Amino acid sequence: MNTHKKHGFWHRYFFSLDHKDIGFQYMLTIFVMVSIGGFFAYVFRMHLAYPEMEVPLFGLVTNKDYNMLITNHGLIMMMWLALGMLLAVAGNYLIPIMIGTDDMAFPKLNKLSYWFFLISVILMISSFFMKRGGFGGGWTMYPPLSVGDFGYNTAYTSFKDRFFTANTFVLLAITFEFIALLMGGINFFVTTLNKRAKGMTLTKMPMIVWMINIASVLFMFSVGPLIAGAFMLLLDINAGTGFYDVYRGGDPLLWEHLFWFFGHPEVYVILLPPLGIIAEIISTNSRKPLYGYKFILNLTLIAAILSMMVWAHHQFVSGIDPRAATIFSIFTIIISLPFAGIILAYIATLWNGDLKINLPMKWAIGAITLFTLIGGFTGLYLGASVFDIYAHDTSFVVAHFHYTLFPTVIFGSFAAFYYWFGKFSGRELNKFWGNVHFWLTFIFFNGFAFPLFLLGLAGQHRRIADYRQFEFLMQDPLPLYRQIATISAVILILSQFIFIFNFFWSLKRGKKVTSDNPWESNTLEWQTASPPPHGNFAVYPEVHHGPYEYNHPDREDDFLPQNKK
Amino acid sequence: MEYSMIHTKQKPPVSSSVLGVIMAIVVELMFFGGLISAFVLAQAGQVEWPPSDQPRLPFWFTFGNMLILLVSAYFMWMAIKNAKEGRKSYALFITLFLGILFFLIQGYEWMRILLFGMETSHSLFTSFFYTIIGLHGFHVFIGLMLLGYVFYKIKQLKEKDNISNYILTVGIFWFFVVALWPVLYYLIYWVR
Repeated sequence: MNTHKKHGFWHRYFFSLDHKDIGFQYMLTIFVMVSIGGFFAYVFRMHLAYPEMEVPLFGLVTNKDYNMLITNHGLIMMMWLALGMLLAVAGNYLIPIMIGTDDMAFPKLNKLSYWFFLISVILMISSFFMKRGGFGGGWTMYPPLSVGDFGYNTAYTSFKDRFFTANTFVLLAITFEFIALLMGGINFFVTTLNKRAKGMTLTKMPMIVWMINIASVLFMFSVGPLIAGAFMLLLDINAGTGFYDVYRGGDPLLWEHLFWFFGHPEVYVILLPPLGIIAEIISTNSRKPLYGYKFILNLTLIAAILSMMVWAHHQFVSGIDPRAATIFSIFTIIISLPFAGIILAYIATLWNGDLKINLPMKWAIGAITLFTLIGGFTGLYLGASVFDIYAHDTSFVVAHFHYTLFPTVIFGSFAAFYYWFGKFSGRELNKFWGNVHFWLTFIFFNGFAFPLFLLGLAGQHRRIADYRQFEFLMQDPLPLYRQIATISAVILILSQFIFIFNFFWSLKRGKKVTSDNPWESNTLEWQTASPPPHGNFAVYPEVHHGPYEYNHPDREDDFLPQNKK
Repeated sequence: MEYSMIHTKQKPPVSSSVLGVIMAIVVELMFFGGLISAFVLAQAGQVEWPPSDQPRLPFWFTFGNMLILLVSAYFMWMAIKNAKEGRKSYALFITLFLGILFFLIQGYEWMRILLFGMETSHSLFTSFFYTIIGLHGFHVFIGLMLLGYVFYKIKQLKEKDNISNYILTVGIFWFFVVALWPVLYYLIYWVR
């Protein structure tokens, strides 16, 4: 029985040290950020398709607005949604409970990390309301654009004028967020190494615990240079240094290297946790052991190392030496091999399985299908510098990275929500609306992103606010493609409200779960109450088996929980 | 059923706090790695380094200061060793004292350079000087705060292992701060 008394609102949402509460706080904060990012996407998509129209709820979009909208859409989705949802929420909620322990190794550090995250969100949102408007220098923040309206001309502006700009605030927000995620990452890593349940050796850990840890360590190895670069950029804006100022011997390319040294590993930081989520879901729902546990693990480690050597493929048109470009092209194409291996292992897991096509499974299969067939595949083309020079910064690139990020981040998160919601809340999500949500999202995501490939190949540049000035971009059928993309994007965004309502309604009024282990899964989180009490387990589990022992021929049950003898 | 908060696992080989601080140092290494590589690249693109119109940095003065920091690392090591054997010693206090001395001397040097008229915006050289040395100074400051906290905290603790763990954790961070300084000194004060 739960002997802990129920805590009040402030305690639960601001001061709780419990990893589940902190995960929930992260989740709610990220919902706010995602709504902003989604709204921005809606506004600029509407503007692109109907440039003469006043966008409902926003008004006429000027070129400056357009820059601000795409910049902040990118930043919010990459930094706050993707990293936050997949590292902070998934890691906080799942790691302690899946390795069979009560809480993180450092609960107070965990709390501190959420507060830093909250500060970063506040800084980010307040940057929209600066006197000179939101930040519009592109989400990659290349100088000199990101140095701001004043540029390097420091003579006529006061420190106050420079500090209270969106540029400063966005950089501070990102720095704070990374510090938050670093604290989280250190916590995950230490918790996983030092607090596992008895008998849980490293190779008996569920795949997602591995994936989140590898992602955290990769994040730690790659983020330092970006924080250094962001700090130097902050000083450039506020202290009159000239690190990126060509006239004083600085080099704007330096930023691109520091940024992408983090930026490219980051996409693998984002990709690995969904791969872990998918591994859990497909193994459980095809009632088969995960094919090649160690094979997947080794490939992931190889991919993590390779991912640190590919960053300059974002700079093929930045004046990079063609010989260096060739090397980076080769590494970029090589890195698809480990991921091809991982996906192959997932397909082998599904092969001949007793497939249960439930909601999490739909999201999981949808994610691998779109990610592999379209996202990853077009990445091969873009990785080759000969093609990238043509397609660079066109809508083709936009379509490519939406096809890689959307299936992994959004589909992966939804798979996790539909899979673990019962455990997390003790209630069920509505299945009918879940299915409606899935099919609307799946169809209209494709409807939104696929036309962008065609537009990109026709030469549509992604940072142009108004295509009416380019005759070749206004020829049929390009405006039609733009409208299809926009209408689909709007329906896609609207259909997320189904999920939001389903989520909050089920949280309060949903049907109570009938079983603690509805998917008949082996991992430890299903062997405790739903929702798990403070401290997670009534009796600390002892682990005897690997996480994926389904359909063992010698046993009657087709599953064998990790803590059963 | 009451909660049985018994941890069934035996003591981990490396304590959580030590592991955490090692991971933090990995991040710090990459952070300073980024700064240093930016500095080395910027330097390589210049004809003259440091630029001829810039003041020269006090080479020997800072060299002496570096020795103070290195000696503090020796006392830190002593403190770790003594704590492991359960002996009481003044080593941690001496480390703290030497650290503060280093910090103050470095601050004095900065004040003199600033009063000399060397500003961040003058050239790439001064920009890098203030950024890198300032960030190291910031880490020394954090290290001193941690040392002070541990110094205050271990007086309340009774168990030998616990005290030793606190001192080892802060000691690793202090070693990092100390080990970084000769590298920065070599790159910024010494080269050319």
